[in-house]
Amino acid sequence: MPVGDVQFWIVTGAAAVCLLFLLRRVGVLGGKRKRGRKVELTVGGKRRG
Amino acid sequence: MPTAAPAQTKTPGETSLASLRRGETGVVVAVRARDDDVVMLESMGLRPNAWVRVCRTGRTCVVAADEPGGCPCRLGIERRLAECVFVSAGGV
Amino acid sequence: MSATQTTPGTPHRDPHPAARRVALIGNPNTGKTSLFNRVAGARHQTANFPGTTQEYRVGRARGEHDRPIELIDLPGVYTLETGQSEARVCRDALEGNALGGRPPDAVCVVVDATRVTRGLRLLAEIAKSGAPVVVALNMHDLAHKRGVVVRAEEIAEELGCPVVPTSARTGAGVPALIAAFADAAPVNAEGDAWAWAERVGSSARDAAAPASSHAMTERLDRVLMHPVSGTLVFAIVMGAIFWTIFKLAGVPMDLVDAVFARLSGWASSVLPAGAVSELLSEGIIGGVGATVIFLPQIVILFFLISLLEGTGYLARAALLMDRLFRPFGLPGQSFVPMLSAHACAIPAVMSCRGVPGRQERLATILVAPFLSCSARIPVYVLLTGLLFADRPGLAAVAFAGCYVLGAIAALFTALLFRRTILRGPGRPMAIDLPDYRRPSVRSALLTTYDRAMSFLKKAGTVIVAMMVVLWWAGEYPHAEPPAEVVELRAQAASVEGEPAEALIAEADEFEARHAGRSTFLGRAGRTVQPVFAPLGYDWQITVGVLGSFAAREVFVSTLSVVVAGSDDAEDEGVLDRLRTARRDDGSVMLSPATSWSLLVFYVLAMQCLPTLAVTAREAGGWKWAMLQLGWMSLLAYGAALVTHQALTATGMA
Repeated sequence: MPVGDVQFWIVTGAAAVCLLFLLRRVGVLGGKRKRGRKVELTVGGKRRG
Repeated sequence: MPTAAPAQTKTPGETSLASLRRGETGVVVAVRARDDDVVMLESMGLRPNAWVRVCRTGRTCVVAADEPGGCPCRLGIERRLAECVFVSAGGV
Repeated sequence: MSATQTTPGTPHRDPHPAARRVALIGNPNTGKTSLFNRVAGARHQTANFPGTTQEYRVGRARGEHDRPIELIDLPGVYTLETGQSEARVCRDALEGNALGGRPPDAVCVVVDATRVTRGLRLLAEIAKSGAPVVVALNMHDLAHKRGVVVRAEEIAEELGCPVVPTSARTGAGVPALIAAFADAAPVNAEGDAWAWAERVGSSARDAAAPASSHAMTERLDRVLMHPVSGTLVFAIVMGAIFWTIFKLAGVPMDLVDAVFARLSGWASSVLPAGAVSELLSEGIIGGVGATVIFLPQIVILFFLISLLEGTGYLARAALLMDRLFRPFGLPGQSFVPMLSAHACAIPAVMSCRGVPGRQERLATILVAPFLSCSARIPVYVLLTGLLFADRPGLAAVAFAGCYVLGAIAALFTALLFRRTILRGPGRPMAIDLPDYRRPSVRSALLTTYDRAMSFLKKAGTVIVAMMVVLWWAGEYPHAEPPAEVVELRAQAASVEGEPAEALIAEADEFEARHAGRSTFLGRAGRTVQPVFAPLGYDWQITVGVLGSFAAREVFVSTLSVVVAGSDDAEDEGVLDRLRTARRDDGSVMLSPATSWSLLVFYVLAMQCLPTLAVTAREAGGWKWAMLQLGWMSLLAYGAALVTHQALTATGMA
């Protein structure tokens, strides 16, 4: 790894941010706790959670 | 899924919409199906006293439902649903 | 998933707190969306009702004294009294349970002027909520042309609320409608809804019922809905759509490709050489380009679908398809998502909202990605081109065969799911068949714009992020040049002319291959390769398959990078390079058996993370997305294995 190269750390940081974004997007890492009334409908209209 | 068995719930003088031939007309007497299907069909225009004309028969029927003073609506409905709509045939 | 998606309890943020909130509601096919487009133009955004999978659109307009109007386009419904999700969403919106707990200030009921009674019946249900109402008597010009005379003033007097004749197609009456939002008033509709609607409707209308347009619709339906001629016309229409997509999209796709290639070149020339420049030009610009290149096909497909919908033909097509789909447990309404899936599975999965019945909707969502989307095209082009290099006719047959295989897999998977985990009777089909009419190009353009932006936002962001991560994993760690490379370079230094260039080229390729093997992606490829060995894939193809797990369109570029260390050659060069590429043991990398196996794998494999995310959202949980991924991967692996083993056994390896 070119640890002495500043550019390496920039691209690594960017990749880490993107990975975090993807993990949050697919729900592996939770986002901010949602506030308020939690009502969710499935496609069939059954309420859950 | 329509729950009513047409043959059992048919009263004298009534026939199911599915049994009408192309070009035949009738007046809707009742819709006997699952509650949700009844509400849906009636709100689409297949309500009691509505005049209907069969435009196409088969697995899916095409019917024209009356709109007094307006253009009739054309509805494509599956045969099993048409079997739940009871009409007095030949009505005007 | 949606950038504009709202969260429960903290719903849609309104930048205009004083905006008058107007909900637009009406029966399907009353021109409601066209009217919305007329009032709001392109100033709208698509969002989701908090906590539901139902999409709605919010538009902006200016009312009296320049007061902002927030227009909410609700789904088309016949009644609010069923358990269907569209009705539930409308009820929630009217009662103020959605949209931040604030009910609309006015409800604009869009009534088809040619069929007033049905619209008024819905109004009777809405009136029970006590909401202030404005009636838009839409398609007034059409009604007039057909001899249906509806006296708006008399209906207004009867209802006690404004009734405005409008034509969404021409824009007539739209300013008056916007002005009337301020005068919305509650309507008193007592008793039976139908009886009330008939009384109000008949008192303000001349009874002469016209039949001219209906006769035309009937004549057309005799041909278009006939089992034989209707199916033939359907096939021609679908063929024409696909021909148009592939014929017309080619030029803009090449243009997009060229623009991004130039942009990439410009970025790497402007920035100092190094990792940042490479990330920007190869990862970010390349990633955006890889997504945007499919936009022309998506735009054309959705424009054509919108136009077809406007003519009234799409409802007939759904009814025709009902015959084909029912034996597989799917309703005719699944046809529109399946058609959309040929452009991209993301909007296809989203359009499954129009499929009634939970089991059938889930089954459609789960099988939609089997249909060959445009992202598979580069892979099909590459592999059919490799298999039938000098026989374009056979290549075209193989190409079409991929589409057929995908469709067959979709239908039989639907049958399997409907007989097992999604068992249960389907909802019988009942669909309104609107009169045939000239479609609104403006409305189709606005709908297309909406879909295109939604695609760019949803797929673009995710794919770009993936490309950055993949680029990093395919770049690091850097490996020291192996001894062979050092030796080759030393030899090149001792000679001159062409032999030196050949030696340098050989050294470059060797080094690139070695570097590729040493990166995280290369190591992962070599670790996982034994799993794919029975399919005939070496570590390089495995890297391509793994790299395209998130987005299948990156397979070609990933493979070309792994094989030759650079993907900046022309297409023909890439094809030639891949054709002659060798495995570590010196054998041809893409033998016929391996190419067929790869082709089958890519027809059936999921390989699209954004679609999985949308499936999870639309189906109501990640378990459905995992089932989709698991089943598709299993089927793809099994089919590719059988293909490779069978072809190897017959001596085609």
